[in-house]
Order: sequence, then structure tokens, then C-alpha cells
Amino acid sequence: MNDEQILTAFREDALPPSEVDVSRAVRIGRRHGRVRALAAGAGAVAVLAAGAIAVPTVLAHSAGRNTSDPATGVGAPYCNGAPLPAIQPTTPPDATPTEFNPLRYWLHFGDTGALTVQSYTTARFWQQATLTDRSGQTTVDVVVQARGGQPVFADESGGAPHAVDPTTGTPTDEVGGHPAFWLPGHQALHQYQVARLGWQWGSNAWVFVAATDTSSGTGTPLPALARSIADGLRVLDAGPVPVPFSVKVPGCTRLALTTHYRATRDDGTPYEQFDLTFGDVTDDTDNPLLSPASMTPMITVSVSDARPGDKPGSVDSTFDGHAATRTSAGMIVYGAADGRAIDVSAPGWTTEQVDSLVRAVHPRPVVDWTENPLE
Amino acid sequence: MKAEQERDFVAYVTGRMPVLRRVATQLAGDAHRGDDLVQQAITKLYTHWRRASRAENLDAYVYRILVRVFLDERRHSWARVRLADSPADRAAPRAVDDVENRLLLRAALAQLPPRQRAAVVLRFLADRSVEEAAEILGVTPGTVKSQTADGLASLRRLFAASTDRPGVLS
Repeated sequence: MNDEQILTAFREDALPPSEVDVSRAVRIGRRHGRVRALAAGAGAVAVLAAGAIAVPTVLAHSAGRNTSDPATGVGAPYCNGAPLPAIQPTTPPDATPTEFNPLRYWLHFGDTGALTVQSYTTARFWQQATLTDRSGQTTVDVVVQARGGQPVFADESGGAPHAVDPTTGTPTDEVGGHPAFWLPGHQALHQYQVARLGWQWGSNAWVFVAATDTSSGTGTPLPALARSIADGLRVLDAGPVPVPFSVKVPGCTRLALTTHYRATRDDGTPYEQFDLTFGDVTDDTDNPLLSPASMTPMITVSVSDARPGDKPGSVDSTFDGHAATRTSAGMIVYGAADGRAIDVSAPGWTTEQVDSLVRAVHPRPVVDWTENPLE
Repeated sequence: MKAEQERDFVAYVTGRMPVLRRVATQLAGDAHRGDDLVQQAITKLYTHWRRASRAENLDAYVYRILVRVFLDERRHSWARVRLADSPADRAAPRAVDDVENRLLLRAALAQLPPRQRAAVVLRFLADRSVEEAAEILGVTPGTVKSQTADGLASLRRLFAASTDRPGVLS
């Protein structure tokens, strides 16, 4: 079979009946238009697009957030040789921050029963943790927003996420002494229903707990599950984010996200990964669910237990004596960080720049993760 | 958006739906996820229709949205280890006929890095020129050429490996 035969085979591949709904795109597009108009009027910085997952996120931020200062954020970003001063997040008098420090956790869980934290992402305007059971079929997403964050969800129609006023939800028993509401919920990509409970943990700052079950639904009723997690949850400065490596902040970037992910492979062995993601210093969105028009390239540096076969792509080279897979956006080098893998994603970077970034990663011993990972 | 513009949008999207679905399916790896990509892409297109409809090359504009939706999704999933069996991981059938060839090719395509896959799909399935593909992907024409060449070479290699018949594609 030659190249032309390969491509012909693709072209002739029959497709099942379409699941694309043009009228739904029009309906949601109209709604987006209205949200965009509102957001523009409020000085919004970005437009939310249809995300792969439906989590609440930040559409606009209220006055008091310094959106024009490119140096806002964590670390000591430098650009074109000129270091920029690191500015600590502003904390208003009522102690509800308008920004989080991505190197501090703000969610503290109580008894989570059979669920464990599978991933935790910290960002400037929100933090998100995903808890799962052993089967991975029951999940609870917890999202806390900084002060002024605009909740955005997919609704029961399964359409794209859009701005939601949580106080229009169904009132329910208080959580931690705060008025709470049940909100319409939907997981956009997989079309699962969720039980979503939201309440204000601080001044104009919301936290949401959303329970989803992808099995036949024979376990704990989702509202009861969401309630039990909510009742044990505390939102406060819960301590530093320990990181298993340190790295020099890439030029013209600042720390945008950290993600700690733990799971179990099919063969029962544990898997752990930690990501530091850097965004352009001039980008004030820091939001991975924004529309492509709003996105700026992000650089992610990870240390993980990945081994060949865990991730897409085959081993195709060696790097400093270690097996490596080069991708269009970077490289993963297996066993390079004291036996763990270093994974760099830097879209648009040259091979030499990627190599240099991999070499700039300094792993830490398992027992001595650092609270100061930015060099 | 005015009613007339909305009619233009619906007419355009409806007319391009078959090729958009085909391209998205090859990008995503299966028709269901491909339709998800198309649904997201045309929703974005609607919100930008006024500007998009004035674009010199509307098709390229739409493909750019589609590819970015795909790459965004891939970028986030890349952060996660593959924990579950996927069609590409399963043992390939030994015998090959046209249907099986297509399945094997699809599995091979799914193993290409996302941008390489996008380059192959845009060039050969969406029939975009090198220059158009470069504009859509935001890279140079030379990069598109090398990515498509590398992609096809990888397809041949992956297909040969999956059928255990070296050189079957040569």
C-alpha cells in the first residue's frame, strides 16, 4: 500500500450518522454573544469557549485586580534580560483574595470516605481538585474561585459552558454557615449529569462541589455525596505546594498553574506526575479553557513516573543516555530525574531550546520536595 | 447577529459538515469525539462569524478553529497518563482487508504526535495546500512539509509493525 492508497482509505472511511447539531451551535453561540457583550461591558478580559470539561472558571474579574500589570503573579519572571519584580497577590481587608498564589493550596478536605484526591490544580484565579473512587467511575470536582470570579458552567442541555448566577439555583441547607444552592449541572464532553452544590466561602467568592457517576448509578446518591464532601471542606490558606523539582522560570513567562496528579495504572502500579505550567507575562487569563483566540502558548515542565508506553508516542531517540520521545511540542525523557521522567511541552520552541529546558530541571528527592521550585 | 448572517452561517456549516466531520474524526481518532470537536468548532465559528465571513479564506479560518480545538484537547489530555485500554493499544488483526486496513491506519494515525497528525490530515484529507496548512497550524511551510513527510513515514512504519509485514506500505 502506498501513500495515496493510505490516504484514499481514510477518505473512503464511512462515518456514522452525525451527532453535530447546528441549531445547538447557533443557540449557544447566541448566548455566548450575549455573555461576551456583558463581559466586555464589565471590562472582562476573556471569553470562555466550549471546554472539554465543564468546570466553573473565571470569565471576568472585578475591580481591584490589577489586570494591567504584566508582572503580577508568582516567581521572578524576566523578559529580554530585564527582570520584572514579583508582586504578591493582593489581599483585601476581608482576607478573601482576588488572586491565589499558585504555590499555596486553598482547599482542605475533611473525611472523603472512599474517595481520594486524584489531581489538584492551582492557578491564579481558581483551584480545582478531582477526587475519585477506586473504580474511577465516581468523581467529585471541587473548584474554589478567588474573589470576583464569575462561575461558568455547562447546563443540562449539554451545551458550551456559560456564565451562571449561582443565587438563581435551588436554595438548600447551609454549608459552613453560608447559604448554599444546588445548581444545574452537566459534564459537557461525556454527557453525564452532575450534582453541583455551590456556596460563597468569602466575599463574592464561590466554591463548588460537583459529584458525577459514570457507572449505572448504584452507589451513593450524587447529592448526598456532594453534600458529604462539602460539609468536610474548608477553604483557607492550607499551606505550600511541595514540588518534586525546581526549574529556572522560562524567559518572558510566569508560573500560571501547578498540577499534582496521582493514579493507578491498569497493571496496578502507582503513577504520579507533577506539572509546573508557565504562561506569557503579558497574558492575564491563565485559563486553559479559554477560546483559542484568547490563548497564549504555555510551557509545561513535568516530572512523573511515566515509562515508555504510558503516554502517546514511541521512544524515538536518546537524550543524555536516556530513552526519549520527541513530540511536536517538546520531549519526554524517561528516567532522567532520579529514575523519573522529565516531560517538557513548549510549543514553538526549537529542539535546542527544549533540550536546554530539560537540562534546567533539577529533581528533588522523594522525601524532600521543595516549596520554592522557581529558580 | 442579523438573520441574514445567521442563514449564511447555517448554509456554510451545513455544506461543509461532511468534510469537517471527516477531518475531525481523523484528528480525534473516532467519529464520536470527532463530532464533539466539530460541535465545539462551529460554536466558536458562530461567535466569530462576522469576522470569519469576511476572511479571505473562510475554509482555512474554520480549519484553524477545528485544529486548535483538537490541539487544546490533546494538550490537556497529554498531561494524563494513558490508564485505560484504547483501540490503538489492542492487538491488531493479522489478516488485512480494506476494512481492517482502515482500522489499522486509523490506529496508526492516532499514534502520531498531535501536530504531525494535524499536518497530515490537513494536507491529505482536507486537501489544504502547504501554505494553507502552515497558516492554519501557525508554522512555516517548511515545517508542514517535514511534519507531513515524517507523519507519512510514521504511518508506514506503524502500519507495517501492526500487520507484522515489513514493507507492506512501501
